[in-house]
Amino acid sequence: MTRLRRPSAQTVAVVHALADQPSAWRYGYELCRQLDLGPGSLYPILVRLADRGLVETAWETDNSAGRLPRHRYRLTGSGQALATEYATAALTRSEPR
Amino acid sequence: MTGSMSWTRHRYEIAAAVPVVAVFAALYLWMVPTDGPEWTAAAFGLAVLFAIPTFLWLVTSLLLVDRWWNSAGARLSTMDVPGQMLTATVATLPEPRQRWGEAMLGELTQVQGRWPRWRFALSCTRATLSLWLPTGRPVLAIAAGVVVAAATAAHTVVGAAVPGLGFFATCFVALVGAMVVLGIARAGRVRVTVAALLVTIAVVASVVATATFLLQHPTAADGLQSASAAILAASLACCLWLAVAPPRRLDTTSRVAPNVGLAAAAIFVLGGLAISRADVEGLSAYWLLFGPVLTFMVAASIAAAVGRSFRIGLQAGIWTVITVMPLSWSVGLATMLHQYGIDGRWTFAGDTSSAGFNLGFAFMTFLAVPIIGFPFAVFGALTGAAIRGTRRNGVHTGATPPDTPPGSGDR
Repeated sequence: MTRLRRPSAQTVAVVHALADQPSAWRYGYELCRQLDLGPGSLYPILVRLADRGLVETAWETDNSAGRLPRHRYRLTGSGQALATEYATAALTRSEPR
Repeated sequence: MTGSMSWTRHRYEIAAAVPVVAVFAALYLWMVPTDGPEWTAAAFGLAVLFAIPTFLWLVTSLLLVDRWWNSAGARLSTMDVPGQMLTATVATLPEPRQRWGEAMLGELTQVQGRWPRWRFALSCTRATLSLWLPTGRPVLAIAAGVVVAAATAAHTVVGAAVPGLGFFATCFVALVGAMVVLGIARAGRVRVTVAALLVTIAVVASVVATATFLLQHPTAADGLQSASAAILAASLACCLWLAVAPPRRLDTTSRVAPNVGLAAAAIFVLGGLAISRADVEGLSAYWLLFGPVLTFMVAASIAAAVGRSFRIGLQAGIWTVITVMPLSWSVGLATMLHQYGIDGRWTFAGDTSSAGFNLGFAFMTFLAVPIIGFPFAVFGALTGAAIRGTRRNGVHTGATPPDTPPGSGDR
């Protein structure tokens, strides 16, 4: 697994959003609305995560009514491990010293 | 709905026709004589001469719009402006990133409301910029810097070695360099095929022939002024780019198009050579006029008929253009030098001439052949495809790649 160097807050948010339901496929527009993130920010993050093997992608199989197929995303095993790592790091930072 | 689609189609036709007329009008204004004896008659004669290729290219552009409309244009016309904008942007993405563009298009269908759709499409367009530049920006900046330095050095070094070639060298190095930078940015693949190699050799031969000509006859630089040198450099660089790193729509896995295109170019150039050796009065001029018509049209129709596809016929036409330009230029210059070596003087159609005049005429021929020939390649491709019946556009015969959007082959 290739780790992301110094992930941005937006990247961490995307990883957490995907980790909420690890087995469920998520859509780009749905993630945009959930995170209040524009596709101009979301897609480059998804591309980087997918390039590093942290996110797996698939095309929607049910392509009814002749509309364009939708791309779906979910974390891979490595991606889930990274989400846990981010969560642990966040907890460590938030703990009172 | 039909009325609005028809109007949309007319807008595309107008958008295709206007640049054609503008380019030929600009060329006419550049070349038209404005003084001298009987300049009005000369201007009128030139206008009549320009009317023929303008008409041919107008018809060609309308035919191409018609083909495009029947395959993809009609679908595009049913979209709103944000959808059209994003579709056009996605089409420019390099192949490995195409699926991400398709993903954005798929999501746009879920966005409701005019302004949310505009916001989503504009934001996606911003995202495509980062997909366009997968390679690190420092690498691109370094590559761009090297190109600028090489182009500047080319002007000084080549200009000193071969007076009259400095501007051509700058343009050629800058354009080829820009293509390399673009290739790095898009992580494009360089296609190493026999056909691409042959075109590359022809381009190199053209550069060598130009340098040799100007080195042996420095006064010939009069026939290759700045504008002509820039056009020559741009044409040769484009030939090289289309041969080794063609855009996705022109790329083909079929060997028919490049093979037929190369054969047609060789027939045209060798035919012209044989005719000039035969020394029959006026025959060379006829070949210059009707040779492209014959070779381009026959080649494209054969390729389209064999491949059962208009697109393969069109690709054969493009291969003919990118081969015939450097090949005819290099062979033409070599032949002129050879003839000068025999005669000891420059001649043109039996009369005494000059090195600059002959080089200028060779340049006009270099431009005229594809200008006359390419429209006939389009006509030939349409004929060939109609004779054999076309396959449905983009039908996949092999296995679909695992991460390809379903049905994307139809688009």
